[in-house]
Amino acid sequence: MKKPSSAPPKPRRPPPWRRPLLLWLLLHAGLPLALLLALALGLTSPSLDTQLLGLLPPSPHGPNMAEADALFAQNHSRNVVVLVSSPHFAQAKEAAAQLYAGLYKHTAPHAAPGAALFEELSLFVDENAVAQLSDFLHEYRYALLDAPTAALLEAGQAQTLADEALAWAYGALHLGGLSHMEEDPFLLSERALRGFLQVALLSGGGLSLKEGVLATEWEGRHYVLLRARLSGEGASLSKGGGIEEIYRVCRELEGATGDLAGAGKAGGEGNNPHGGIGEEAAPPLAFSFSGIPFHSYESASGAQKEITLLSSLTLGLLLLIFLWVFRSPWPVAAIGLSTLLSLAMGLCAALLVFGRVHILALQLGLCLIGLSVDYTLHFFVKRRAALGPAADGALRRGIGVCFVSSFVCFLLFLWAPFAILRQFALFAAVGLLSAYLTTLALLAGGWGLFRLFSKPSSAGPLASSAGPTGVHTSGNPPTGVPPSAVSPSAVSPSAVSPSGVSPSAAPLAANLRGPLFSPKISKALLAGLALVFIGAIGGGRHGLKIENNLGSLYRPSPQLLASERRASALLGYGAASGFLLGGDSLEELLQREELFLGELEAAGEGGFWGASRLIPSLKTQKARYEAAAHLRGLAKAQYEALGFWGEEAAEFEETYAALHGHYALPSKAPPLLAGLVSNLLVEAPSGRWYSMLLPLGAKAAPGVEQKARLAALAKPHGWVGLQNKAEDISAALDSLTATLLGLLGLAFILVVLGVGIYYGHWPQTLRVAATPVFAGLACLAMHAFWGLPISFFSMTGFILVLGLGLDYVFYFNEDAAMKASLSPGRKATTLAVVLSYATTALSFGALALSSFAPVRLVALSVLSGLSAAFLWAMLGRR
Amino acid sequence: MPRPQHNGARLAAALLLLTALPTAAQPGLKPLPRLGPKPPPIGQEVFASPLTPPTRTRFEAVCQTLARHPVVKGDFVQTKHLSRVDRFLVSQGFFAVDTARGMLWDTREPFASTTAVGLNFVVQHSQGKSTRMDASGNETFLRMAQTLRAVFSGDTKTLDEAFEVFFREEKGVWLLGLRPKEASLKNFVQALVLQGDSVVRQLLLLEKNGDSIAYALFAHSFPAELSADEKALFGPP
Repeated sequence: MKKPSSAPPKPRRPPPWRRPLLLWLLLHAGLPLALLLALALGLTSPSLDTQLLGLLPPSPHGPNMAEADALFAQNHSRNVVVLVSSPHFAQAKEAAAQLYAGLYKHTAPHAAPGAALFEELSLFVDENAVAQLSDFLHEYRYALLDAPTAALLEAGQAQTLADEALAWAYGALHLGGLSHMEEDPFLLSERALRGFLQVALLSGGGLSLKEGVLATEWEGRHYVLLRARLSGEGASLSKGGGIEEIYRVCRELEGATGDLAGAGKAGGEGNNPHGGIGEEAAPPLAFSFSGIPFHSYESASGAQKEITLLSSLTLGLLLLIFLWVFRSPWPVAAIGLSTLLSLAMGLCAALLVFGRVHILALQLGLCLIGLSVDYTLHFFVKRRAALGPAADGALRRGIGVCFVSSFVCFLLFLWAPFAILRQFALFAAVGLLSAYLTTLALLAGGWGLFRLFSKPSSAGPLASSAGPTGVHTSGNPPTGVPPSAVSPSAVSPSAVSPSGVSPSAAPLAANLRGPLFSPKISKALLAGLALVFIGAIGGGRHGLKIENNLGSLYRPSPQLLASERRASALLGYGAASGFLLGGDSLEELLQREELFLGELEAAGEGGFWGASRLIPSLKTQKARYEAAAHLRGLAKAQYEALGFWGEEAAEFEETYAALHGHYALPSKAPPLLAGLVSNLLVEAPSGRWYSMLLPLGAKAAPGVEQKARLAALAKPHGWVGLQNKAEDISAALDSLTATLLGLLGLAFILVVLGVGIYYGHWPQTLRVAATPVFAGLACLAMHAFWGLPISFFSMTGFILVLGLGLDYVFYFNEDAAMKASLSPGRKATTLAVVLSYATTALSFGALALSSFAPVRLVALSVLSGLSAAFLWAMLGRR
Repeated sequence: MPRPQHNGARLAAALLLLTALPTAAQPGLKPLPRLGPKPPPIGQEVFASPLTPPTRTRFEAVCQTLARHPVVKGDFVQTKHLSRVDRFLVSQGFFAVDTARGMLWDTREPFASTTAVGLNFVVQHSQGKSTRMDASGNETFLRMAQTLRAVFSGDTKTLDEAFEVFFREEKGVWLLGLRPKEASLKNFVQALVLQGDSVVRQLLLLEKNGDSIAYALFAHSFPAELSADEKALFGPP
C-alpha cells in the first residue's frame, strides 16, 4: 500500500487565460509580429494621416452622397494655389517664375522615382489651349450647341442666328472666330466657345492672361497665380513635403527681394525708359497661400510640436512625482516601461487595423499616459507600502473592475461612425489592455526583475502609510498568487519604519491616514458641490444645447486666414451652397443634371452650373444636332453673304449628315475643358458617377428661406442633395453628438448592471452609479460656466469620464471589502488614488492646453468630470 | 473648405477677348461688298526701323500732333482678310475716339453692329439690345483697344509700355509699327501698322493665324465732344 505523501499538494496550474504572463507575452509579441507580417505581405501600409479632412465626419446625405463627398474632397484636397504679389507686375512675375523653377525639379518626371512632391505645377499658360478647345467645339459644333442657340433654333429663329453670325463676321474690332467659316458659316463653334468662356469667366474669378501668366491687379498690387497639385508623397507632412518646399523657396525669394527688384528693373529697360520699376527702391514681395494642404500642414506641424511638448511635460512631471513617492528609480522605470509598452501596443493595433491613423487620434491617445500608469501605480504603491501579496487579491479585483469598466467604454467608441474616434478607441483599448496585463504579470511575480521593485519602502510617504502597526504577515496568499510572490523580504516587518516619512512628504502622508472629514461634513460638502453645479447649469442653461460649429473647431493662424481671404477675393471663391448628384452611369447623371438645372431655372433659382453645361448628355446632344437641321435651308444664302459662291452649301449638307451620331464625351475633351469637367464630375470605384452643381460666380451663402426652397426642390429626387460643406459638417457632428449621447446612456446602463451583478449589493451599486451622475453635473456646469455648447467632442469627454471616473470608487470599494488587518492598505489605496488622479489630471490638463479645439474640448470635459469623480470618491469613502 | 479650383476656367476667362457677343444684322440692308477688293498694302517695311533718338523725337512730335484733338470722328472702311480661304469681308461705318471716354466703332453696312470700348468695359449694341462686359476677363481685349485709343490720342507712355515701337517718315507721311511685348497681346494681334499725317489714315492689324484687318479712315472731324447719342452708346457711367 502506498504511503500517503506528506508533501503539500502541488498547486494546480491555472488555465492559460488565468496566466497573465502568457497573455502578456501573447499580446506584446503577437501584435508587433502581426504588424510586421502584414507589412511584409503588403496587407497594410501604415502612415500618419495629417489631412484636415480627416477631422470631418461623413456626409449627412446618405451613403451614396457620402461616397461622392469623399471622392470630391479627395479630388480637391491636394490642390494648392500660391499668389505672388508685388506693387510691380514684372517683379511679381519674375518671383513666380523663380518659385516655379524652384519647385519644378520636384515634379514628376523630373524628380527621382517616388520622390516627386508635385503631380502638377503650372504657371505659364499654354497658348494653344484655346485653339485646341476651339477645334474641339468645331468638331462637335452641332451636338455641342449652347443652350440659347439651341433654344433659338427650336423656336424657329434660325434666321436671327444667321444674321448674328454675319454681324460678327463683318463687325469692327471683332477679331478671331472666323477660322472655320467655310465649314461653319453660322459660326456655331464660335458661339459655343463664347458660351463656354462665359461660364468659365463667372466660375473662375477675375484673373486674366498677362505676359503668359494668369494675373490680376488688386489694391495697388499685382498678383500672379501659380497652381500645383501635390503628389501622395508631397502631401505627406513628414520632412520634405510639398508645402514645406513651397515655404522654403518662398522664404528664399523673400530674402532675395533685391535681386528680384533688379530683374524687374531689367524688364523695364530697353524700349521702356519710362516704365518698369526704374530707380525705385526694392518693393516688398509677398506670397498668399490657399488650399487645404496649407491648413493641414499648419495644424499638423502644430500638433506634432504640441504632442512633443505636452507628452514631454506630462512625462517629466509624472517622473518627478513618482521619484518623490517611490524614492527609487526602479518602480519609476517599471511604470515608464509599462506606459511605453501601452502606447506602443495601442499604436501597433491602430496601424494594423486601420493602416492610416489620424494625428488627432494619436493626440487624444496621449491620455493613455495618464491612464496606463494607474494600474502599475496601484501595484507599486501597495507593494511599497509593505502590504505584500496579501493585498493582491483586493488589488487584482480593484484593477480588474477598473479595467473592465474603462475597456467597455473605449470599446463602445468602436461603433462610433467617425474614423478618428474608432482609431482612438482601438488605440486606447489595446493600450489599456497592455497596461493591465503588464500589471497582472507583475502581480504574478513572474519576473525576477520586477520582484525587486516590490521591496517595501523604508522611506517616503509610502512608509508612513503602512503605519506603525506593521503589516499582517501571516495567512494564505490570495488565489492566483504564486507562493513565491509572498517572499519574506516582501513582507518583513523589519523593513517598515514608523519614522520613515520624509519631511517633505509628511503632510501628505498624514492627510492620507483616514477620511478627510467626518461623514456628515463629507456629505454636506458633496451636496454643496452638487448645488453649485446645478446652480451653474441653471445660470447657463440657455447655452447648454447640442451644437457643433465647425468654425469654432478649427481656426487657422491669422496669416493663413488673411491669405485665404485674399485668395478668395481674387479667385472668386464663394460661400454659396451647391448640389451633389449621383447616377448609375454617366449618361444618367448628365440627364439628371439637365433635368434638375431646368427645374431650378423654372423655380426662379437659376444661376447654377455643372458638367452638363459643358458637355451635355447624349440625349441632349442628339436633340441639339436635330435642332441644327433648321439651318440647312439657310446655308446657301449664308455662304453667299460671306462671299462663298462655290459648292460650299452642298458640302455643308454632306458634313451635317456625316456628323450624325458624332457626340462628345468628357474623355475626349481637350485639356482646357477636361480640367474644368474633372473638378465637377467623378466616377467612384463602385462604378457610380457623381457630379456637383455650383453657383455661377461668387455668391453669398443662401439665407434660411432660400436654402429651404433649394432643399425642397432637391427633396423629391433621391439622387440629389443640397450641400453646404460647413453646415453639413456641423449637422453631421450634431447627429454624431446625439449618437454618442445614446452610446453614453447604453454604457451607463451596462456599467451599472455589471457593477450590480458584481457587488450584488444595490446600495453600493447606487453609490457607484451616482459617480458618473455627479461627474456629469460637473461637466455640464463647466460648459455652462464657460458658455460652451455640448459638442461632439464634449460628449466624447463625457464617455471617457464614465469609463475612467468610476475607477476611484472601485478602488475604495475593494479596500472597504478588505480585511481589517489590512487597514494600512486602505491608506495606501488613498495615496494610490490621489496619485492616479494626479497623473490623469496632468495628462488631460496638458491636453487642455492644446491649440486644437477638439482636443481641448475633450480634455476640459474629462478634467472637470474626473475631478468631480475624484472628489466624490475621496469624500464618500468609508 | 475652399471651393474647387477651375484651372482651365481661369485660363479661358483670361482669354475672353472673344466674348464680344455677335450682333444681329440690320434688316433691310443688303451686303454690298460681298467680296471686297484687295486693299493696298500699307508699309510693313516700318518694322525695319526701330526707334532711334532722332526718330523718337519725330514719333513724339507726331503723337503731340494727334493729341491736339480730344475727340476725333470719321468714317471707316474695314477689310477683313481670311488668309486660309483667301476671302475679303468689307464693311463700312463710322468711328469716334474720345480721349476721356473711349472709342466707338459703328459698322453700318452690310450688317449693323456697334462696339463701344470704355476705359474698363465693352458695350455691344444690336437691334436695340445692349450687352455690357466688364474688364474682368476682357483685359487683353481692353488693352488692345486702349492701345488704339492711345495711338489716336498720342499717348506715347502707353505705347512704350506694351509694344516695341517702330517709326519712319517720308514726305510728311509717317508709318508707325507696333509689336506687342506680351504673349497674350500677341495672341490677339501680332503687329499693328498705322499710317498718317496730321491724322491717322490707315490702320492694319495682323493676326497670328495670318488673317488681317485693314481700316481706311477718312472724313475726319474734330468736334469738342461726342454727341448725346454717341455718349449714350457707352451706357450709363
